[in-house]
Amino acid sequence: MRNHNHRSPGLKPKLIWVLLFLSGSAYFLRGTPGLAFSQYDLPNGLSLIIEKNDLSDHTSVCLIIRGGRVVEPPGKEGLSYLTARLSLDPPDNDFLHRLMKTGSEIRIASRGDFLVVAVETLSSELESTMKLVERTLSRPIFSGIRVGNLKRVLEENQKKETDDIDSQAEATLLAAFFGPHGYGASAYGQPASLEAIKSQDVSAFHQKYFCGQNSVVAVVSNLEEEYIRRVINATLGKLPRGERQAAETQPPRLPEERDIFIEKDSQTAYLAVAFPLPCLTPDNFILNHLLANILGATPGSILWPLRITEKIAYEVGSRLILQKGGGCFWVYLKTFPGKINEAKEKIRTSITRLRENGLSPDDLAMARQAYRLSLLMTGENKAKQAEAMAVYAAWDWPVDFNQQILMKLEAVSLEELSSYVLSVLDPEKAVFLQIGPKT
Amino acid sequence: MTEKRRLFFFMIGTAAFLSWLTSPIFGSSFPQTSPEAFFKLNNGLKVLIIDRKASPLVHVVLAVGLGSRDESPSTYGLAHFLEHAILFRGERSKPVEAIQRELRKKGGWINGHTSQDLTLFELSIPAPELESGMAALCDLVFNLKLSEEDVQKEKEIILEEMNLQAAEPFPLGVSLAYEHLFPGHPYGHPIIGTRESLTGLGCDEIMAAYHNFYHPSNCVLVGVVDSSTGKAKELVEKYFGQLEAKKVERHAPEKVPALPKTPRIERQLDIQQSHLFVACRAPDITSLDQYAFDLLTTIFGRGPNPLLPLALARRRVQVAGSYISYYSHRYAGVLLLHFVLDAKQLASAEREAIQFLRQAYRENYSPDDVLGEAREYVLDFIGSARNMLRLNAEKNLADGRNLASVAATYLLLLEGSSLPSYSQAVESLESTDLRKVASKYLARPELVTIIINPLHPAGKKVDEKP
Repeated sequence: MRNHNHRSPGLKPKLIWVLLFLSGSAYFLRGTPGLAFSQYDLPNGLSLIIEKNDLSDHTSVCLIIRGGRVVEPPGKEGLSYLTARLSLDPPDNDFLHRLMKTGSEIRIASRGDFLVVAVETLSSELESTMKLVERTLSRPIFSGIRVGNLKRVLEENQKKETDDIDSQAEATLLAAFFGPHGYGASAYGQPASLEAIKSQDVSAFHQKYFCGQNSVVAVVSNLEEEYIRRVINATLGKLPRGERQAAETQPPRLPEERDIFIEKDSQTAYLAVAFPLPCLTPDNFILNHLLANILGATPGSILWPLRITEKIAYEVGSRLILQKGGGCFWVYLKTFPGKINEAKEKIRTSITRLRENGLSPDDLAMARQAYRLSLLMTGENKAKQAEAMAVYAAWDWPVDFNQQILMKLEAVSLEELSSYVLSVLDPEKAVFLQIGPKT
Repeated sequence: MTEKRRLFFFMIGTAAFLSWLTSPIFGSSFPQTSPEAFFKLNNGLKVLIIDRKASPLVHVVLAVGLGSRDESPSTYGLAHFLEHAILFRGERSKPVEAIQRELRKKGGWINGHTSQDLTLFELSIPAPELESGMAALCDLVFNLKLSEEDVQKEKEIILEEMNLQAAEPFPLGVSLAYEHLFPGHPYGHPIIGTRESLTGLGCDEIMAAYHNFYHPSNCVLVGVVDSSTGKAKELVEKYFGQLEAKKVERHAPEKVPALPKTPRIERQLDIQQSHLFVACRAPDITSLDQYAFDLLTTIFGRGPNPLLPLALARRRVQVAGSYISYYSHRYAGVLLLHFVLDAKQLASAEREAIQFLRQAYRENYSPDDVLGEAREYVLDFIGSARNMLRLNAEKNLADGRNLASVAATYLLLLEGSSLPSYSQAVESLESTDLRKVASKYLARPELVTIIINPLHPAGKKVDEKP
């Protein structure tokens, strides 16, 4: 068993304190959750991270299974989410009654690189909840009836995704940059791809990916570390060892259609300008977040004048989708359909001006602080903190990467960020998306 | 940035906050709050300091006793407009943009929310910058100077916000539910106002309301900070203690009138799925019935086996999503059922959901309701719901901003009320109590039904350039 108790992999403790002192940012780390973590490898190869957090008497568990949408075979989109849902579906009434009794919540998501199983429970119910999770994860029922029933649920989820303008924009832009498969596919698949999925596919996917070597679990709790380790070892530690699957990735491509229009009979129109992002690294992870904060949706950001001075839109903002092989960044606004052409021009001008005039030290300072704040807020949310740590570990990054970001932020120079902004916001790579009525 | 319909459901439904001072109802790990932590300044501002040791982040929330219930038909939307103006418009000791930029440079963030009963301003900032944050919050909220030009600019933005709300099924459904549940009552009009009322609002009228309502005696301030040094208390007195004391003039609250008839409203949007909303009135935030109602709505709509979707499924009514919410306000509450479903299922879903509500007083919610072998077949819905409420409470405890917002809301709304501890009340409830409130509020309720259907049932989608 490997124990990295209170250690930050990749950085020597002395160096950390020197950096803290030099950057003057030590206070940001005071009491920040994430410093007191431990990391173990369980006998079945499952990587376990435990963080102590006494803010409340509840526990968040995040299980990351390597292999999300990117590993779905073309034509079988939706397979990863379908498998995860079925793997956690109550197998019988007894199970359901026991799960109800705990009051616990279980959430499942299929991301580009991973499957996420998030459990939130009262700390007193951790053991009983994890026993139930292990029971269904280890012995799921993939009968034709269950697969068929769940396919119908996924078809309804597809419609819900389309009815929500933000989800529709995200799905459209991912499909534009990554095509209909892998990163570009909807987690819920398409009617034809769901039709093509058989129960044998689900079993095979489960057998290949749902195993200890291929997974990471992070637990953020007020409970004692030894107790948590015993509970996880006795539950998720029973998952078959299996093998770690090689990371598959998918680089973005530029779509032929660079001006996408989806007609929607609505009083409001959605406008986005999107750019592909390169293969993800710890360094550009930080730069991406700074970029999003600089363009952002808050006072002082580049887009803010479109709301406050130009009065173009009530809602302006930016979004990041980060995946190992490449991602996507977009700025967007929601406006009155009559203003759409003006909005398009203004958003284009804002980006051009940013490219021509460059960033100011003020832009960088505000973006740094905004990013810092969001990291500190994450520390007050056990579920987000658990997911961040598990995702970092699954990417083979330091588990306490959030704390490392707080230190590294000061070292990001204006030149480095400016150069990155120029490379991302390349007009040659821009894709415009408009959802709304014809104008 | 600003949520309009965040109706303070983010905590455990309807907790009795004042009892916190002696009974930690938020959860077993609620920080100890000494009597000195709750105090009143000479100008009437009520302050609660919740201690969070060595936290790198602090949160300060100011609740102002001005909500949409304080508006008249000609001023609908005024409270919400003021929230926007305070955050983004006008002059203070310096221009608002300068204050916001400085706050951002210090790593701070401030946001606002308006509800039927009050307006909230939430500040989060790194602990060493607490003084800068307090100074900015006080300046932004209490020194507003607004010009006619500022008013016109923000009106345009709010009109955009209205369009957004009208284009999305949930905000539209909620707005229609309130309009028809409270016809003629201040809770019935949209918090954001109407196009007509907003256009008619003038700077003088807005500032008159500001000068009447924005006073310390009409506010509550809650901080989640490290209080061991006493600095937080000092800063509150330094910045907020200087404000002038003044009595707020407000109309006596209107009694919520009986519903004349059960309305049924239909609308259309360009969506693929239908939305069904069924709403009725529920206990208000001062009612002793709220505890049982909280448990009941949790049983109906949350967890791995919610009772209402289960009842629909037994009748072969399939829904793609179901969301059951209980919103409690100062003078009334609302139960809102929301289903996302295929249009073909609408009629049966509506019929079965209403039937379910009317029969809820006959349900068994615990194995203790039956004898012998029958116990095996009755699920412990009460035990499950209690744990779900506890979990929700604990999750909210960890999030300092949420904790401060809930505390400020309950302190402001429950002033003068004497309610039992939430946790004790919920623990002591039995099935009989749930059946009693179901009988009182749901057996013969005046219901509002809202249906939002797809504009193009076949799903018209065109992918081409405009």
